[in-house]
Amino acid sequence: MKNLEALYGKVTDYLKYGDGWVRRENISPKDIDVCNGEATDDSDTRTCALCVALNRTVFKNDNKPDYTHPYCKCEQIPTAPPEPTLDFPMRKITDYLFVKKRGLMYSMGYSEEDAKEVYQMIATNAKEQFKQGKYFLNALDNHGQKVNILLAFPGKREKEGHVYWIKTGWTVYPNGKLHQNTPFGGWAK
Amino acid sequence: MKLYDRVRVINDGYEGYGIKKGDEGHILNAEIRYGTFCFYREDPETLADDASASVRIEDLELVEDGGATDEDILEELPRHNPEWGCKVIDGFIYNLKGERLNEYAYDYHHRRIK
Ligand SMILES: [Zn+2]
Repeated sequence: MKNLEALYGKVTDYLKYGDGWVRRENISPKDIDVCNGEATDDSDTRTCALCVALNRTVFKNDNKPDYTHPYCKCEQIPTAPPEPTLDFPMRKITDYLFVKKRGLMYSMGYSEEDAKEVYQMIATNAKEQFKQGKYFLNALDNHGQKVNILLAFPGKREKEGHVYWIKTGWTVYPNGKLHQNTPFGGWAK
Repeated sequence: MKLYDRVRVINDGYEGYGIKKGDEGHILNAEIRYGTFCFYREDPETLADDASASVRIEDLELVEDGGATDEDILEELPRHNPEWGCKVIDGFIYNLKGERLNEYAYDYHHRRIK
């Protein structure tokens, strides 16, 4: 029954918005980015935690989180394609990628001195891919709706000429902002 | 326990996310939400962070300190807001202002009334 309702929702949404972009909106002033340093549901507007987490996020209509529940007050508003921005500290590359996965980076011909280049490559590509709707929905949980974005990574030095396809992991924040989780979610097959 | 630390999942309950008891990985978001950290499992062979879930603090055990500084954490926090709970020390959650956010040690799901 629940599946049937979800399917019905999908079909009616598709008829309304096609494959354009939609912004999910509810009346809560809170969202995953702005909630005074504390993740909560919003008792004032009676909005549940996951709807707060999805508030003001922008997805392609045919590739958006299905999450809904009886009396859900979220609406889907057709919107222009997002201009993605990033929450992506350089330290994710210098202090995480090149520390915890150093061997992996070496195997593609990269070393610590290339951190800036690696950062730029991931940042530019991720924005471009998301804007084109090329992302894969992952889990939705307390930390928001996660997506994977696939990137082509050119090999360097002795690995020049190779192209490595990798998955990068992000959380979708409001208004087209992507929060970087992992620069290496695996090889893309 | 905090951002970039290597941790192990010590309880069941995350199989739906592809994460089993005993799996190791890292904390990859700085902020604690609802008494949970954003955990990414690391495949021991490929080093891929290939599965993730919000894991309850009491279901995690520290394996190795990741060396994140307060500056690292602040940069990673949503809106760089120091009010977020982000560190767990001896059963207490702290924010970057040094405030303790839970009332009782090892009870991570009841917030302290300020
Ligand atoms: Zn809801």
